[in-house]
Amino acid sequence: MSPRRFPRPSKALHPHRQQNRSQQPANDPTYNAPKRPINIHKENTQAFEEAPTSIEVFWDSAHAGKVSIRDDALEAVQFAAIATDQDINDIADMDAVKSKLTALMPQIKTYWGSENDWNQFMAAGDLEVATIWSGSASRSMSAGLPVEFVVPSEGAIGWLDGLSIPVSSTKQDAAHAFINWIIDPAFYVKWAADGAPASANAKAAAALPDDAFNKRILSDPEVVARVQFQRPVSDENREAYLALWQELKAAQ
Amino acid sequence: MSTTLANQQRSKIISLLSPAYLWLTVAIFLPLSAMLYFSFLSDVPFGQTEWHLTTENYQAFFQTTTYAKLLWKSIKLGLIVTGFAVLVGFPCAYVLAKVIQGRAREALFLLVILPFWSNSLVRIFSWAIVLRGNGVLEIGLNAILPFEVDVNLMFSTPAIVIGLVHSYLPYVILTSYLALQAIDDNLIDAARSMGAGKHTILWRIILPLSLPGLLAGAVLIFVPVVGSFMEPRILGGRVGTYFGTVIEDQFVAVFNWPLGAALSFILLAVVLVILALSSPILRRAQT
Amino acid sequence: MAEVSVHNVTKRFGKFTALSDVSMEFPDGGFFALLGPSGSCKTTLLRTIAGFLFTDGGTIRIGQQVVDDIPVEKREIGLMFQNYALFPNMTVADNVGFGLRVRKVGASEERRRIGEALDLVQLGHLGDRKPHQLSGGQRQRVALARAIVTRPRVLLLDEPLSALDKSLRVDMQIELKRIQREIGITTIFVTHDQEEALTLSDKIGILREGRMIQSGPPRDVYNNPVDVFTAEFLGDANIIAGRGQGQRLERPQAGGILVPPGSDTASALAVRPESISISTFEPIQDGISKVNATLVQRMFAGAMSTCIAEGDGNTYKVIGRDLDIPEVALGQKVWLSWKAVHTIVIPGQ
Ligand SMILES: Nc1ncnc2c1ncn2[C@@H]1O[C@H](COP(=O)(O)OP(=O)(O)O)[C@@H](O)[C@H]1O
Ligand SMILES: [Mg+2]
Repeated sequence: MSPRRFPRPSKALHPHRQQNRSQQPANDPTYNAPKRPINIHKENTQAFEEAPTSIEVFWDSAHAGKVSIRDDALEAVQFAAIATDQDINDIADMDAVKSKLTALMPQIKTYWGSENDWNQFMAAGDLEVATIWSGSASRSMSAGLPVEFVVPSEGAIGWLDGLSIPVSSTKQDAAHAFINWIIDPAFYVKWAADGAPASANAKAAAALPDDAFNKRILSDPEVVARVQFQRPVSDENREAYLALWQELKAAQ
Repeated sequence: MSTTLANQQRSKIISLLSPAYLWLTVAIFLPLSAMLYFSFLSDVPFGQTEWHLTTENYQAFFQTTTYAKLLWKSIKLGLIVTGFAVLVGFPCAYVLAKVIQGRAREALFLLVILPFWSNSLVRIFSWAIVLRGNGVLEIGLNAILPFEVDVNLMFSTPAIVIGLVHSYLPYVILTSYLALQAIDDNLIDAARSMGAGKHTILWRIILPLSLPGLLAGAVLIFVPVVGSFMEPRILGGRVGTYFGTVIEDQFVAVFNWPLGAALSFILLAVVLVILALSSPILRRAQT
Repeated sequence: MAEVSVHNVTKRFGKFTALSDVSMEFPDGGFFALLGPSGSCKTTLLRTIAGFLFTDGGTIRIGQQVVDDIPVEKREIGLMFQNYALFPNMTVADNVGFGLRVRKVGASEERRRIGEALDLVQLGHLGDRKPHQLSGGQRQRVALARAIVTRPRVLLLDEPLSALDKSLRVDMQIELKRIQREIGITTIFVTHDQEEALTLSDKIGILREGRMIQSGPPRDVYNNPVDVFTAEFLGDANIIAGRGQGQRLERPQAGGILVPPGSDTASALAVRPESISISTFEPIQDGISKVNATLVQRMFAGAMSTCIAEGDGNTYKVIGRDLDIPEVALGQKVWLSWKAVHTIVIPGQ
C-alpha cells in the first residue's frame, strides 16, 4: 500500500470536494471506493404521469420555472456536455455547451446549494425536475419525499470518492479498521436503508435487498455504462467554466 | 511648569484614546490591510502554493462585462431598496416622533428595532416561508379575499427587495426619528397659524429639517445593500446573482480569495465615489 | 382687525378640566394681557383662541364670526412664541414671507410686504440672514414681523419676551407697544410678569387654576382686587386678617382699621407697601389707620428703600423714598400709618 497525502487546496476549487477526492486510481485493488453517480435527474413524482427518460426534460417548456441544477460551474458545464452528447472530460464544442445552458436558464427557478435546499424546494413544490446526487436522492426518498431518481438515457456525471490514509498518520491500524468497516456489507446494508452512495464493493452491493435504491437503480450494468466519471480538471478549464457560468448567471 | 502640565494633559489624552485606536486597528485596519494585500496576490498563500504579487485580480474586473454588469445591477438594487426603505420608514418615523405619545411609542419602537435583534438568516428564511407559492401570504390572502389569488413572489427580484427593505428599515426609521424628534413642535404650530396645510408643512418644514437624518439613513442602507449576498441568494433564485454573491462565491465556493478581495475593494471604491459625488447634495441638505 | 369674545369657555384634557367657564371680552384694537402663575392655563386659553384646541363648551368669536369649528389654519390669526419658532432652514425674508407664500399673493406683492414688515421691526437690512445669525432681540423682531405680515385679525403672543434679558425686554415692550399702535391690531398677550402686564395693557385678565378670577383695566384690578390671591399676585400687598362691616373693620388682635366709605362686608384687608408712611412719633391726623410696630429690617435700593416692620401680629412691608424714612435703629418702635382710602377691602362673607 502506498500512502498518499491529501492534495493541497488550489484556487477555483471547492475545498470540501477536494478532500473527498482521492488521487487513488479507481481501480486500485487496495480500496473499494464507493461509486457516486451524480447529476442524474430527479423529479417530483406528483408532477409526472410517467417518469421521463431523457435529459431533455430539463428544457421542456411544460416545466418552465420549475427546474433546478446545482450552483456549480463544473457541474453545470458537464451537465450541458452530456445534453449535447459530448465527453464531459474532454469537451470539444464549448459553444454548444454555452447555447444549451443559455436555453436552460429561463427554465430554472433557482439553483440549489445543499441537499437541504433541494429537499425544501421539492417539498414546497417549487421544483418539478432537478439534478441530484444518488446518495442524496436515496436519503430524500427514504425520508418520504415523493420523488423518483432517473439516470437519463443520454448519461450522467459520476465520480469516485476515495478513502486515503496520510503517510504521516500515526493511527494507520485504526484507519484501516474504519475503512474496512465502512465498506463492510453488513454495515453498508444498514447505511443504505437511510440513504448511502453506491458502493464499489461488489459484495456489499450484492448484499442489498432487491428493492434497495442502490440495487434497483444502479445495479443495472446498462445504467452504469451510461455514467461518465469525472476526471481531474485543468485550471484553465475550470476558469473557463467558471467564467461561462458567471456570465450566464449575471445575464439573468 | 506649563509645559509639564501640557505633557501631563497629553499623556492623559493618549491613555484615554488608546483603547479606541487599538480597537480600530485590530478590528478594522488590520483585517482590511490583510484583504488589500490578498487582492494583489496570484494565489491564496496557504499550504505550499506558489504565489507572487500581481494586479491580475483587478484586471479581471475589466476583462469581461460580467462584473461591471453585476455591479450596475447591485447599484440599481441599492437604489431601489433605499427608495422603498425611505418611503416606508420615513412615515413610520414621523408617526413615532410626532403622532404617538407615551407608552404606545415605546412598544412601537420595540417592534421597529426587533429585526435588529433577530438573526438575519432566520429573518430571510421567515420571508421565504411567507413569500413562496402556497406560503403564508397566499394562504392568508385567500382566507380573507373572496376570490382566489396566486401569490408566488419567492425567487424573484421583488422577494429580494422585500427581504432587504425589511432588514435595513430600522436604520432609516431610527435616523429619521432622531431628526424628526429634534424638530420643535412650535415650528409646526407656527406654520399652521400662518395658514399652512399638512402638505406645505411636510414639504417646506418637516422634510428639509429632517433631511440630514433621512440621508444618513439612506447611506447606511445603500452601502450594505450594494454588497448584499445572503438575501439575493436565498430569496432571488435564478435572478439572485449580484456583485455581492459573486464575491461570496470567490470566498466560499471557488476558493479564490485574491479575486474576491479585489472585487470587494472595487466595490468599496465605487461606493466611495458615489458618496463623494453625492456629498455636495448631502452638504447642501445639512444647512 | 376684530374684537375677540370668549364666552363661558370650558376645556378638558381627559378627566382634567383645564378651563372652567372662562369669559372675557377683548375689544377691537386693544392690547390685553392674560396673567397668572405657571400652570394657570394661560397657554391653554391662548391656544383655544388660536384654534389649536377646540372648546368643550362655550363660544369664541373673532369679529362677528363664531370660530368654534374653525381650525387654526383658517382663523387668520398671527402667533408669536416664547422661543420665536423661526424656521431654521429659511432666511429671514423667507420666514416672514411664509404666510404670504401660502396665501399665494404673488411674487412682487410678497416682496413688497416682506420689506414693509421688516422695515416696521427695523430689520430691513437683514432679510438674507439665517435665524442662527441673529441676536435674541432680532429673532424676536423677525417673529413679530412674520406674525403680522399676513394682516391677521388678532395677534396672539405667548410669553414673547420672557427669554430676553431685562434691559432688552423693556426695549422690546416699548417696541411692541409702538408697533401694535401703528397697525392697530387686537393683541392678546400671555405673561406671568405682572409689571409687564400692567405697563402694556389696556385690560388684563387674571387666571388661576383655569378660572378667570378678575378682568378689567390694570388700575381697577390693582386697586380693587377681588380676592387675596389677586391682591398678592398683582403688586405687593400686606394682608391684614379681620372682618366687619361699615367704616371700621375690627381686627382679631388689636385696634380698628379705617376703610374707605361705602365698603361692603370684607373677608380681609390689604394695604400696598407704597401706601404706608413710617414715623417715629404717633401721627395725630384724622382718617388714618395706624399701627405701632418694631422695625426689623431696612433695605436701601437707591431712590427707594424697603422696610420690614412687625406689629399687632402682622408683618408689614413698606416701600418709600429713602429720604422720607426716618433714621431709626433696628429693633426700635415706629408708627406705620395710611389713609382710609388706601385700605383695600377684599370682599367676602
Ligand atoms: N395637551 C394637554 N393634555 C393634558 N394636559 C394639558 C395639556 N396642555 C396643558 N395641560 C395641562 O393644563 C394645565 C395648564 O397648562 P398651561 O395652559 O400650559 O399653563 P400656563 O401656560 O398657564 O403655564 C397644566 O396643568 C397642564 O399640565
Ligand atoms: Mg404657558
